[in-house]
Amino acid sequence: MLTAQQVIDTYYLEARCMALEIAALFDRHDAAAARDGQPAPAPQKLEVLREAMAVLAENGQTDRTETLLSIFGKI
Amino acid sequence: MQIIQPHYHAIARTAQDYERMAMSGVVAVCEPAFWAGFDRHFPETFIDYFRQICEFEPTRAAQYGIRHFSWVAVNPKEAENAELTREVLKAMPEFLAMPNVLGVGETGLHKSTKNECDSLAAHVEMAMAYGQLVLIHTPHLSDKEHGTRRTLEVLADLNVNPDHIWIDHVEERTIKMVLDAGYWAGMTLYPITKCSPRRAVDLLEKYGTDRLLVNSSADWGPSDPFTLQECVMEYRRRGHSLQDAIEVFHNNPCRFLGQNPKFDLKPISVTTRL
Repeated sequence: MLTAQQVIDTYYLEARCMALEIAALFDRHDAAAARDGQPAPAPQKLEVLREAMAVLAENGQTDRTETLLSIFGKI
Repeated sequence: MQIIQPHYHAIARTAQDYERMAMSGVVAVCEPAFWAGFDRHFPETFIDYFRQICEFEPTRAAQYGIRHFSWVAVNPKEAENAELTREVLKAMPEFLAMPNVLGVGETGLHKSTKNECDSLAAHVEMAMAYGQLVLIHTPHLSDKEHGTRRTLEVLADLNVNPDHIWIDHVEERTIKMVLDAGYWAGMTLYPITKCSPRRAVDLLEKYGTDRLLVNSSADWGPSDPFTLQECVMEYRRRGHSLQDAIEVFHNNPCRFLGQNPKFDLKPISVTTRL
């Protein structure tokens, strides 16, 4: 099994890439809403993504994957 | 759709990539000199490497109907070796005279050391003296923003034609400063580092398509030449027209690279015949 440091070093770049893709999705949404002059009519998917990001930002969480699956299960 | 791959390290890839690129519309690739994964010690090693990308690779690409063009330079990592850089620079003019060599590249910065900055300046000065195009690498990850600013500072002290300079590997933090300074900017697509196909399309939508190039690089590390086709697909599925896609992925490379008359592919347009 990997050490804690090995986990970070092995998966950091991949996770960085995923985080950037999510950030880009939020930016893409905001730019589109600005172009359209109105918010998306059904933003629930974006809201659960925000909720999921908030879970990841908290220290001391456990079973994050399970928690996120429950959040995404609302949609 | 016809596509030009403006930055591609063919020596690190198999013939199967050429075959698949040809089948997916790639009509030309341009191969800058780069780091081999280890620091070379001898100028002669570079000269043989230049011969490989300038003389041999075009024959491999031609088997699949793909045009192959090259660039020569000491890459930023090895530019730390000032003596090596000086010797290689002396040998470069004979390669710049070859029929498929488009200019000096990829030069640039890695850690933005004094030696790297001196090498970048010497490469750019040589390019301007010989009327060549320049392809500039910008640093990876944490040094990206600082290294790009430093690159612009080095260029500002030189007598350059910004139209002839392509600053590559820009991303969200650096694209505006490069375009505002009047240079061409390149977005390099990688599976997990640099820029992704979706983020590249976001940038095209935000900044427009003028003076922007998209490439896959594709080297010996985790990389994929077909991220360029992924980007074309992403651009098209967002509703951009075929002609708009051709402007970005074929005609913009023609516009920049065609400033060197050796690059003889011309912009194309889609017409409908009744």
